[in-house]
This record gives sequence, C-alpha cells and structure tokens, in this order.
Amino acid sequence: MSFTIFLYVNKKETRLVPRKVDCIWPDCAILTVMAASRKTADPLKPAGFLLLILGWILVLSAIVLLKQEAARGVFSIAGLGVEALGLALVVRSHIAPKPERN
Amino acid sequence: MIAPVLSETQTLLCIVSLLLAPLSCAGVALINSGLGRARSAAHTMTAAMCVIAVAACVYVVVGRTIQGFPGEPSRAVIIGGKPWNWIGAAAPFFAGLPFDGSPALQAGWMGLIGASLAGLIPLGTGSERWRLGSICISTAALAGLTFPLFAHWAWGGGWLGQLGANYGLGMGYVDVGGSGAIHVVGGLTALTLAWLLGPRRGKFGFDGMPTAIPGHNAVYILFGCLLALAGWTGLNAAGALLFAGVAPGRLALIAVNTILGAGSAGLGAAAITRFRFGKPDSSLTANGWLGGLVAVSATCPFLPPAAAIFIGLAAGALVALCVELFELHLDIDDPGGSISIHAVAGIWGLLAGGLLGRFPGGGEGQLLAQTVGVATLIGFVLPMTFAVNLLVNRFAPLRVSPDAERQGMDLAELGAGAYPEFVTHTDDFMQR
Repeated sequence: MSFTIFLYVNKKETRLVPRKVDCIWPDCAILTVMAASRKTADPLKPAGFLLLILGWILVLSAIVLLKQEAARGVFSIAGLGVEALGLALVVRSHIAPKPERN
Repeated sequence: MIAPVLSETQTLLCIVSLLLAPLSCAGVALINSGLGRARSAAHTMTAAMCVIAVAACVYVVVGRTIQGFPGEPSRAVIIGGKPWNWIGAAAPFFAGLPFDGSPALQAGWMGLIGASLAGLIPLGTGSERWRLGSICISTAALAGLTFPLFAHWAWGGGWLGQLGANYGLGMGYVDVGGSGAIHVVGGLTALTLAWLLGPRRGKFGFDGMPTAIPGHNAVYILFGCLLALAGWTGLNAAGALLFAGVAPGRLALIAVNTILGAGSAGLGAAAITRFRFGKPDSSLTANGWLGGLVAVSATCPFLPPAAAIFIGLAAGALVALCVELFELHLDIDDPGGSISIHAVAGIWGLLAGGLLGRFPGGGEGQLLAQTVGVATLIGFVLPMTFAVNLLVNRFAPLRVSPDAERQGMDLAELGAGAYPEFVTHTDDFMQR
C-alpha cells in the first residue's frame, strides 16, 4: 500500500510548483510534508511577527501590572525594543538575496 | 462612558471643517498619480476613486459599527479591575444616529473620510503593479476592519483613549487629526503591500542597485501638497473639536500649527536634499511637506508654534532620509514614499507630540500613553494588516502579470492611456 501526495512548494516566492512524492506509510507522508514546509518556510518572518506581538503584550502588561511611572516607562521602552527587534527580523526576511533580484 | 456634547458654534465649525477635509483625499490622489509613470496615471486616479467609493460604502456598512462613539454600545473586558473597551457595537448604516449634527454623526462622517484617506495611502506604494480588483478588496478589509478597530480604540471610547481615566496616563492616547488612526495604519498597510507585491520590474538592476524611476508630473505632486494642506487643516480642526472638545478659539492655533508643520517639514526636506544632492529635490520636498502635515496632526491643538516647527523640521528630514534608506538598503520599492510619509512621520509625530505638547492637567504620563499607542500600531496593527493582505493575495493575487506591467497599467487594466496624444519613448516599453 502506498500513498501519493502532491507538495506545492513556493519556489522563490513567485509561483507554485506541484511535486509528486510517493510514500509507503502515512507517517512518512506527514514527515515529508513537514520536511518540505520546513525547507521552504523562512523562519525569520514568523519569529519577527511573534516578537512584534510579544513586545506589544509587554507594553500592555507594564501598564496593567505596574504602578510606578518610572517602572512603567522602563518596561514600555523594553517592549518597544522587542518590537524593534521583531521589525528588524521581518524586514530582513523580505530583503531578497542579491543574485535572485529580478 | 458619557458622550461629549458640542455647543452650536462648535457644531457649525466642525461641519465647515469636515467640508474641507475631502481635499486631503484629492491631494494624496494627485500626489500618488504625479509620482507614478505616465503609462499608469489614469489607473492610479481611477484606483483612487475606487478606493474612496469602496471605503465609504464598507465603512458605512461595517466600519462605523466597529468604530462607534463614546456613549454608544460597545464590548469591554475587565482586566486588572479596569474595563478595556475593545470594539464598538453600534448599528450599521448609521442607523440610530440623529441627523442633527450630533457629535456621533460627525465622528462617523470624519471616520468615513479617514477610511478613504487611509485607503489611498497604500496606493502610492503599490502603484504601477497593483491589480485594480485586489485594490478594492484590500481597501474593503482596511475600511471595514483594520482602520475602524484602531479608530475605536483611539476615538470611539476604546481602551487607548481611556488610558488617562483608567491608569492616570495624562489625557489618554491623543490623536485628534489621525496621525495614528489614519496615517500610521495606512502607512503600515503600505509597508505590508510593498513586501507582498515586491518591487516594480526594473527597479533593481542585476547588480542590486535601485534605478531612479522619476514621477511623470511634478505639478500634480506640488498642487496635491497645497490641496492636502487645506484638507488637513479641516481634518485637524474637526478632530480637535470632536475628540478633544477644544474651544472654538483654539482652531486658529490648530490652523497655524498645521501650516507651520507642513512648511518647516518642506524646508527640512529641501535642505537635506540640497545638502546631499546639490539641489533641492521637488518630489522629496513634497514628501517632506506631507510628512510634516502627518506629524503635527496628532497633537496640534496642544502644541506651541515653536514645537510645531521643530516637529515639522525633524519630520521633513526623517522622510527624506527614510525614502533613501528604504530604497537603497531595505529593497522596498515605494514610488509614492507612503511608508516614510505616513508611517514614519506619523510615529514621530505621536511621540514628539506627547513629549512637547502642553496638555490640560499638566500632561503627566502623556508620553507613556502615546508610547502605548505606537506600540499597539507596530505590535498589533502591522501583523494584523499583513495577515489580512496575505489572505487577500491568496484568493485575489495582488500583482499584475509581467506583460501588463511592461505595457503599463492604463492599457493593461483600463484599455486606454491617460495621455493618448503624447509620443511615448520606445524605451518606456522595454524590459529593464
């Protein structure tokens, strides 16, 4: 018994390319899909967006949990710093490698 | 929360101000068209009209429901013993609003213009490669969800505006003219679209260096700036009356600060380009002018004129430098400079206004309230608008085909050019 799956790999983020893969066991198919997605996904982008949201939550937590204005200010700046790091990662993930432009 | 009440004089002034406000949309549309190439001029203006039409309809049906107004039904959660009002629950189609010039009605009117203006901002970034159908869908998402949600938090009695009452942070988040709610929201949407669309064909050469693609009509750009000044003055005045309850006499200061912000920013950008390139650049000076308008909008009723000049000067310099930074180092192709003008200058204006403004009650904690607003824009609105436009791109591809882009958006999408009697240079149609 074998399973045939079609992987759609986003090649150079411009078009979808179908790719046929034969698998003997269902878990093999799942692992193949996971490996393919890990291979093509850019980890910087989701990590950057996660940091953006975490930075925002840090700022909100500072306002809710802390009473002193100085402490609130320090934690808010820290939250903005986390957001800046996230933004840097997201921006970096969108810069095309030099030879691949155009 | 109790609904604000306007006197007869305030109501009349607010109506007159809001009648001026659509000029800001006209100005931004002209600037976007002038900064693009001739072969896409008609498409850019048609897209601007479509954006205003879609934004107005969607805002009336869905957006106004989410934005709401203080005193109207809304949803809140209790966090740390304080209510966090996060979404409006007003009736759609302006239902239930008395058409007698009430503040809620005028706030809805201003929201409608704000949604249209926010929708026009990404057009400058995506011009010459953004499909008309996708523009309409993306605008519908912006006017129906992203813009009204943040507008509710800032203007509609939401948690950002209540930071002062609930947590003692000055007057709460102050954004009377929409620096954050309109411009940063629109500017961040423009940034996500620049990422998703990618650069125009030929913008970056094989060596990776950007190619200069000049706008086709400097007069459109500069006239658009003058129209924008009139529109911005109206928006700032109306917002100050509606959301800060300023006295009618304060409108003179608002008008003065708006002109000072724009003028000093234009001078700042002209000085920077004169210093860097030997001559002042007209399109970057126009970008700086608009950046100054965006920056002073947030806190214009509370700024001393000297502070407005400083904020404007810095905004103009920041816009001129950021346009270069985005293009040269971050590979972002933004023909209209919308990201620098609206997102960067807007964030600067929100923070600088909190630092330099003279707010009623001393303004203790005001800068922190403004910081929370900026953190929300970057940490919540940016991921949200990216996700929304990613979804739009999945079902209605944003970008036109390479052939259509080479041919020009006017011929490819509309079937006729903006200037049919002009002789077109042959290299305009060559693949770069």
